[in-house]
Amino acid sequence: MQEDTFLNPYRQAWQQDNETMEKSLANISLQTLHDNIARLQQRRRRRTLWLTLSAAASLALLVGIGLHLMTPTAVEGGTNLVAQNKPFKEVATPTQDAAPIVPPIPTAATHTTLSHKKTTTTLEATTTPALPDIAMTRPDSMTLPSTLSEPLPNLTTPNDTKEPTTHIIVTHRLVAMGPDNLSTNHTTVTETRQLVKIEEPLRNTFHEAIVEPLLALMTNNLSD
Amino acid sequence: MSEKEKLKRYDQLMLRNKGLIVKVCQVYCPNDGEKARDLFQDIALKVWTRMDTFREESAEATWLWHIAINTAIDSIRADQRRPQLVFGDTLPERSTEETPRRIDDLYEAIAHLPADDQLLITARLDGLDYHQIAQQTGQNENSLRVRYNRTVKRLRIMLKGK
Repeated sequence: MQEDTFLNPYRQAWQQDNETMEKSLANISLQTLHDNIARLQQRRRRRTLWLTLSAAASLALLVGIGLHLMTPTAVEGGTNLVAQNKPFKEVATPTQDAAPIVPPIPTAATHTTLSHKKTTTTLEATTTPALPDIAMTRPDSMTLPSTLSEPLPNLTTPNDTKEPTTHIIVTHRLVAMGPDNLSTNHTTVTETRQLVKIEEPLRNTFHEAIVEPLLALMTNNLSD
Repeated sequence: MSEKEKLKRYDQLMLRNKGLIVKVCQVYCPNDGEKARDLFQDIALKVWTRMDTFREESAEATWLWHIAINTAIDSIRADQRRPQLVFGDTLPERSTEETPRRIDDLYEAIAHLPADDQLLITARLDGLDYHQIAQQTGQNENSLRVRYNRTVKRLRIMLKGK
């Protein structure tokens, strides 16, 4: 019973405060509460919309990154033709009139010192005429075949009579020219199991534009 | 339940239990009408968002009281996290009374009790008997008596030094 009287001294103050608080809160009508609810729901709708848009944007970004990463690169160190919007050339379909097939490229990488600038070239194959002989004096470290037209050793297999089906990609690496590092230049040939045919006009252009000036330059350098 | 029905049910709930929310505001925001109004509206909004969680088997007053207390505690914590006034700013409004009131100590002590005990004490301060409180809270009268005595002892200890 002692506990029952404990609150008695506080009752009067409690009742007074209670009345004051009720008066203070009396102006909060149900309409006010409804307005608050409407605002809350509007805020939630806006947040939901924002979250949806954010999620969509994030997804689009991820897809974009994924597509970018999946875009093929032609050859390591080469130029990404797809990214440059450059179509790959189609491989010429061999015909009856087609010229004889050039012997296959060796399976091992062939090295040359003639690379001049960094490019990726898609070579197509159609022709056979032998490349002109490259008669020149070069250091022992250079591994360029003496003539490009002569058959390369140990490359022909019985199945090599098959028609070519794909192009090859040759990457020329640019290395500062000079007698000291000539032997470090090299050309890598991929798709080694395919037969190689080099289109005549392309080959001639390549020769005239790059190989011959380079040979001349090298000859001059070496003779110096 | 459609939105309209929910709103109607909400209105009835608020009208029936407005007194309870007022008491929570009284305990947690004594002497601060502005803060009490904010708290009242916060509680009312919280009740709206929790309408779907109400189960008929529990007493409406108890359910609502718990929501109100939790909202009040959250509100006080949020206030404490806000930066305090620094010198040169407007000072907070002071109580008109020079000396602290005894009832303020009681409010502070009540605020430190568990939610169910708070409801019991405020109901007793309102003059409700155990039978009425049992009807409101859905609890047994005898257990309410036992709990009340235990809570008062606790309050005595808390108010002893005051």
